[in-house]
Amino acid sequence: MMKSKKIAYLSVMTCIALVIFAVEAQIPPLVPIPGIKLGLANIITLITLVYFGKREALAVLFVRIVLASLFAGTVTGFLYSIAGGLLSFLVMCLMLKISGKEKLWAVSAFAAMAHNTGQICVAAIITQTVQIFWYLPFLIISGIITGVFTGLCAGLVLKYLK
Amino acid sequence: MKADIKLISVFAFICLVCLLIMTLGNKGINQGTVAQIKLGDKVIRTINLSEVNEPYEFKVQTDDGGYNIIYVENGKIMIKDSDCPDKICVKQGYAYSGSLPIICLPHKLSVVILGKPEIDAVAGGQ
Ligand SMILES: [Zn+2]
Repeated sequence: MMKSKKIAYLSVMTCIALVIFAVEAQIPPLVPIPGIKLGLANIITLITLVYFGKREALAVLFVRIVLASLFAGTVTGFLYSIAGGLLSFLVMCLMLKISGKEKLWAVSAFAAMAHNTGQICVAAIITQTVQIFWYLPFLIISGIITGVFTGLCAGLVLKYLK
Repeated sequence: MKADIKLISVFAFICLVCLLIMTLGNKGINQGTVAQIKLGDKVIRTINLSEVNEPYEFKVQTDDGGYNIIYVENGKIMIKDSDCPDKICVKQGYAYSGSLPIICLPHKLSVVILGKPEIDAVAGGQ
């Protein structure tokens, strides 16, 4: 793919991710547990990772988090998102290697678990509260559920992209 | 197909372990009557919930200029109101012996129930 064309595509991906992220932020949380959400913007990270590659997906993820934090205007929010985002990205790459493109739902579920674990670690550091880790089992289970969902969505989109 | 079953069993096992920890956590580990309210790493208030007779509320001014209104009753404590963007802390409801801590992440505020031994509470009351 031509370089300029690729940059254009990646910009569109980042833009879609930002919009999804912004829309999701407006949805009231289903359960009153900090950190539980659908993580729909991860669909874009997954698609970019499979369709373009690691470097491109990391760029889209990073720009999305930086821009979203700038709009929200909190440093805490940035730390929180970047810890979850990077950890989930690492697991995503690793699992994609192990279980392959056919098992995107599993890749995504593991990534979501890692995402929530990363976020809870930052939350524990920010609030200096070890007891926050009692939320971890809830977040792991919700990560599996939301991860499978976003993984299936990404798989569906990728089917049409090819 | 075989790989699917393998993956599903891995996830099922993880869920099972989580459920086990959830029940364990609620049964024994967070027991206590002392509520500790922290802003970041500094403890701003410690309340023995078993000694609260009349319910009362107070306002906590957070570092970023926001506030949380905390409501205390005999044996339980909750965040009644807050000006944080997500209001998750308010929706979490009461914290009591054996419950999860209340967290207001945007304000870096936490309400934790501590497993202080009963002897402490008695000695403090005399
Ligand atoms: Zn709050």
